[in-house]
Amino acid sequence: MIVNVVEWISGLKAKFMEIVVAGVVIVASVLLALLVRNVMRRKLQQKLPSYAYKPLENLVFYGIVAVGVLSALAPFGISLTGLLVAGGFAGIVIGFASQQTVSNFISGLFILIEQPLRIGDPVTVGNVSGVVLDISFLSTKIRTWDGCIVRIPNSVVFNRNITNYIRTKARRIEITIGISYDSDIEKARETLINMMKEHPYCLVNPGPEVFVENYADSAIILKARCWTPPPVWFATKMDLQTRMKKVLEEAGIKIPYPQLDVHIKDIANMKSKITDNRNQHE
Amino acid sequence: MNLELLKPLKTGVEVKYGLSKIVLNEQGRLEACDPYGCVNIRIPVGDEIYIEPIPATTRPQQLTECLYVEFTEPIAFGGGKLSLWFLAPFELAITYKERIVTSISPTKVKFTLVGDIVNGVVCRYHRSMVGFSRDDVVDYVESGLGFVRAEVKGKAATISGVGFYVAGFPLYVDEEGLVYYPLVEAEVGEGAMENKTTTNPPFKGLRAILKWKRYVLAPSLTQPVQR
Repeated sequence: MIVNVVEWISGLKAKFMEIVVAGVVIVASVLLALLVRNVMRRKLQQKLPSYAYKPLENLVFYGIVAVGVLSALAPFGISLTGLLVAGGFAGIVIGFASQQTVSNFISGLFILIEQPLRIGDPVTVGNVSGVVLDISFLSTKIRTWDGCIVRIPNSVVFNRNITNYIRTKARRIEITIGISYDSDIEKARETLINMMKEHPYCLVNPGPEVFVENYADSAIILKARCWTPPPVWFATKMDLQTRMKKVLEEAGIKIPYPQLDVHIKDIANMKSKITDNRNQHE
Repeated sequence: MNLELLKPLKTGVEVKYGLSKIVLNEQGRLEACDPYGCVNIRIPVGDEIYIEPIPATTRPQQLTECLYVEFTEPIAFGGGKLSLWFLAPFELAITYKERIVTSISPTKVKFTLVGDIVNGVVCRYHRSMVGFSRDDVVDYVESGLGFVRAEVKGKAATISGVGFYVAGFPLYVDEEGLVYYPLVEAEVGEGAMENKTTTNPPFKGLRAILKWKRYVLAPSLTQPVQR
């Protein structure tokens, strides 16, 4: 009886020691992961683009923690294979229980592999436009143009149309402007093309172009187009839009207000009306 | 037209070079201007600053790492080997204690797309006379333009320009203060030309500038050519 108790106590002691060792291993692995992450942030973060660094950091951090946890559990007879089997089973159970989370996670993996958007890219996802701040396994964070942060679940990102504004090498600017019917169209075209040729960010090839888009009620509508590198697209568009009016005015091209030609059939009646109005004011 | 390179900038003197202007006054106020704006920096009085040419990729802002020089007359290349000489723009770096504090462009800046919109690359653009020796183009040198020598080999094609990576590469200077880009090796294949910038000078006897700078390796630039 006493022997059994002693054995039980020594067994308990050994178990306790194993638990302590396992705890120490887990804590050590977390500390090691934190240390490695700090070193990576100091040495690598500046050298790698953020879209490549962030997933790498997550992979290394969680990889070290996972190895530590598995090593700590090994003395208890919990092997990687057993965990994977159990994990697989648990995965099915959890999957049914939390389909949305799993869907986000899998979508997150696909987003990281396919990379339709990367951290720092200006994008539109569905009806949200802005710069990608972070892509985690469950959600994507976008800072909108007016500074709000929108968290979009990855399954939504994956199923929506994604417009990435920086992936192509050049982006087109289109500006429309109306000139009066009295103006010389060729001169206006030439003026606008020269303005775009002078601008440093309007590409030489594909070259700028200006054409008549429409003969509207009050003006001849011209469309001016030029291609720019995507990072300066907005600044160039603003600049061209501002300059456009000035260069046209300098060239003697009129930009008309909305106007309506009124053809009066019966002048006699009109005159009397004007007279009447004047009398009323008096 | 030539720059006084590797000599400290004199105080109280206005240096005008092409479309750029640099002034360092007695109080250490440095003003560097180009067609895209002015930069004002304060330098400790008595300290030395230098003006050195660097590849033209930083003004008005760093958008590219390459140059594309379109030839005024395309070259009919019959295959084999050919040496081409042309001119390309460079910028001026103002260096203080072996660090570039700012840069300005003595020439107007334009960009162009080399290749298609998805796989191409946007490069700084310049249009230049092309020749088969340095003497063919020396008369066309202006402030802010340096020589480029491209060694072309491969299949026959019509070459209307050469695009090449330049960011981070050394520039060279001769006794007269004329600037040279490093040698470019171009290989013409089926419908495309692959251009690799080396770190070698176009010929022996030139001095490398910004010797303290660490240079990077750049990829080849592939551009379309007509057969």
